Amino acid sequence: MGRFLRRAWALLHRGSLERQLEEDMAAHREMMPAERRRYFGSDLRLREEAADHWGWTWLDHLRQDLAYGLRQLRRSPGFTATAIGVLALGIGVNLAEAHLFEALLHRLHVRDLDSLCHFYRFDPRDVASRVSLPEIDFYRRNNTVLSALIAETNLSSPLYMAEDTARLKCSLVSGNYFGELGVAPLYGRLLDEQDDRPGAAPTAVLAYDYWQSRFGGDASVMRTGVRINGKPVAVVGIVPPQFGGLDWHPEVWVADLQQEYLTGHALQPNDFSVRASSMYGRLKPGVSREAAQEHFRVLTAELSKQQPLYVDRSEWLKVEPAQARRILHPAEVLLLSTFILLVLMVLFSACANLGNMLLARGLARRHEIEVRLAVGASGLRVMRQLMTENLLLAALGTLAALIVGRASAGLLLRMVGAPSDLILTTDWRVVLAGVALGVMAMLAFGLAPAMQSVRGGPKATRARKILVSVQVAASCALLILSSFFTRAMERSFLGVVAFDYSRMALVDPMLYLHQESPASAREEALEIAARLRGTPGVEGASLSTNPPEMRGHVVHLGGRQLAIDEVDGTYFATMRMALLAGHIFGPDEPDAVVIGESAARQLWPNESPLGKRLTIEQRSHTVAGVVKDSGLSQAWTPEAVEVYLPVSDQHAANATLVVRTARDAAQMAGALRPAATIVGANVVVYTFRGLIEQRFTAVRKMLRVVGSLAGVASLLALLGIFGLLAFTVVQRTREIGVRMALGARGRDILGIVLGQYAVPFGAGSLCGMALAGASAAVIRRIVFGFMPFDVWSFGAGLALFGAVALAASVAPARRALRVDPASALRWE
Amino acid sequence: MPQGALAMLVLRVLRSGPLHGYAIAQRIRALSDSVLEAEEGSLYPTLQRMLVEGWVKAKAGVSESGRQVRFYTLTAAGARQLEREIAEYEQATAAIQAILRTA
Repeated sequence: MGRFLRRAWALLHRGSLERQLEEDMAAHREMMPAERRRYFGSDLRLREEAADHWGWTWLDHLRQDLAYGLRQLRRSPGFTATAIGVLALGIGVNLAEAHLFEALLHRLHVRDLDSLCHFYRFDPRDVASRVSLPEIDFYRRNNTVLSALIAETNLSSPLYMAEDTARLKCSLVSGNYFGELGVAPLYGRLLDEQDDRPGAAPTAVLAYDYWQSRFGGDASVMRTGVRINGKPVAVVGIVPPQFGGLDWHPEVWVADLQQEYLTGHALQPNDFSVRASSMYGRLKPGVSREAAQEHFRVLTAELSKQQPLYVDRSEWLKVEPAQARRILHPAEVLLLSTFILLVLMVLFSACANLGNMLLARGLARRHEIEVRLAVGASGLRVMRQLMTENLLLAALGTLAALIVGRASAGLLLRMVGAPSDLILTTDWRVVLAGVALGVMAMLAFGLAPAMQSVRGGPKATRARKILVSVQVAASCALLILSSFFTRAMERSFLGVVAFDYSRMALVDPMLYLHQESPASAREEALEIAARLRGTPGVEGASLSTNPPEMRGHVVHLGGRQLAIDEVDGTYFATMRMALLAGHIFGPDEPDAVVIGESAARQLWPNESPLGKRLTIEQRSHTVAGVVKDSGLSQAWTPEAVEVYLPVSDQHAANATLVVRTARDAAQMAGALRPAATIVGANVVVYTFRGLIEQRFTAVRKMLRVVGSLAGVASLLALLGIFGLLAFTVVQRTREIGVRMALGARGRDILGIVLGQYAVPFGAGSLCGMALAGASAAVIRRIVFGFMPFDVWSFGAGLALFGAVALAASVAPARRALRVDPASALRWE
Repeated sequence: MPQGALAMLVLRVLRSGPLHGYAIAQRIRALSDSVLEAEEGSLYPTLQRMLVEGWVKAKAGVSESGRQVRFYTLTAAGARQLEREIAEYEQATAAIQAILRTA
């Protein structure tokens, strides 16, 4: 360290130090006896040696190299601009990813995040991580390590805002929630302890995004209030955009005690069995997470003594930082890693591209380099100078990449409609990532060409071919993936739209909101069905407790999965599902069952299923008939086969009406609602089209992201292939001229220009296909659950890449064919 | 004569007090004819290196002939370095002598 400081100090006083040394040496020479003076040595060399010790020579060289490099880059602005552009794209997409990662990791914008922790329940009998409200109450009263305990519950009973068809996402929170998190209202006030008292007026606060999308950001909603499930609720405030909840993204928050008012189900303050709440706590100053965890182990043990029925002795609460909560899901990590792989492929492609450009440039500058070597520059010195030029390029490229990265991350967020609590910040971590990537890229694209230039080897053809393969592989993989996703989406879409979904609607009378007897619920549902059938334009209306695209219920039976739906006898006609054997159950056959053809094949292969017994949830049923598969459950539960039961008492309140209309269902919605309305109920009408589109939004967003990455990669590949071929043509103009003069035809010439890249193209596409296959396997497992793997999309991706390659080679090929033998022979 | 030897000799002659470059050269020549025989100026790069290492410090002064020159002083680090080098040197000679005796 002392040495470093002395060097730094010397650098600042370099002028006077050099002067002093010079004077010292002059004085020495004067004092020497005249006959010995010639033994003093060369002044200049001695001073250079001295400067070496201070580390000045190195700096001098660097300065010279930088000045020379800048001059070189300025002299060929076309090359410089292209190189910086390519680097900015390649590094930029990675920085965009880094921005998004950062935003995802640090999305919780609350006061004093370090002391906030989440309590994760570990129970060997159960996988749930949540706790019940009475448990939270117990911990709140008995712990000594927390300054506050916060609960957020994802309300599972269906709520609807006004006449909306989409379910309202509602969080129930403890009264101290917003206060403890230090979230300040955007407008009005947020919920506090007053709202969580028995007898408090019903209040709610709205999430910023929801307020914007549902109410158009109109603050008058705070004056008028809203109706949730038909009940008036006062909106007292708007939550600021940077806060999207602790656990998920609710649209409204209401206090715990409002549950009964909204849903009709009373909150059970002593019911330990409903474990639906996430528990967060704020550690007192000086208390470590480990100490808190030990304390809570003791408390849980105590609670299990009090409530042995609900709290097992082996249960415990894990105390984890609230920060780490969101990203922990391994599937998400895997998905993000796949995306990192994809954007790294783009960077590889960019580096390969630049490497090729530099090799070409090295060839063009061979004359200059040879001269410098000939007049005595060491190979290392020339290398250093070339690498300094590359460093300059990398620095400029990284700077541009920071801008590109920030902008494209913003664009990406807008493209996928990200929630507003994802906030982009370009902090030192992102800058560091950019610098690291820039340096890595410089080594990757610059080292080999620089060495080639100095060694002047066999025209660097091998290196170029390898670089081309890398580039081909990267863009090929990305193009295949994007075509794969497009087709995958279309196919799963086709699977669903096998029936005419545009003329189908679902009417949900929400009978489960009214505490009625099962018999009366069924009566009401049947009555609504009858009234709907009487409505003009309605071709059929039937009951279903698990209507497609809305709910699903899968039962495991002897290693098989059965997708259960409870329907009335007219359902199959309404859905246009043909009867293949037996008969459909009538209203007085509660123990009959109708199964799909796949179910029949799987359960009783090579036998007639009619009259066979099937036990589902401890009830025995007799198979009455076999119908054609609807295939509707395929997209979510591909393994399950279809089983239809008559509507049971147990599930009658879930009855929803499947309606077939004569015209487009969306136009009918207005007519369907009044027909289905019964006293005191709030009916919701869905169109199948709406439900299906909602489902594919996520896939579509993903598609856009992969598509734009593939676009960037293709652009890079296009540039790369174009540059490569154009250079080949220029380099071999003379040879082409000679061949033409000797009678070679256009075909032969094209063979020369394009032929030498056949092997790298082949190898590159093979690697790209393998890479695409591997990433597709990961992504489709996570995102889609199941998705058929098809050869066609691979073919389509390859064809697309072929088109890109062709487009890139048209101009160079034309140029090769237009070579004039006479002038080519004179060409130098 | 290796480079390190010159540095060691400089440290050795500076132990008795601050000296300027010419005086250092004189003393070294008195100790050993061969070190500065070919190139007396090579003392200066060595002194610069010792400044970087922090073994000596330079201070402006006036020579006997009345010229502005720098006087070099041994620092504590320099004294330690000298001890270390002498110890190493003695160790090496002892080892060589042992080999010569047994061979």
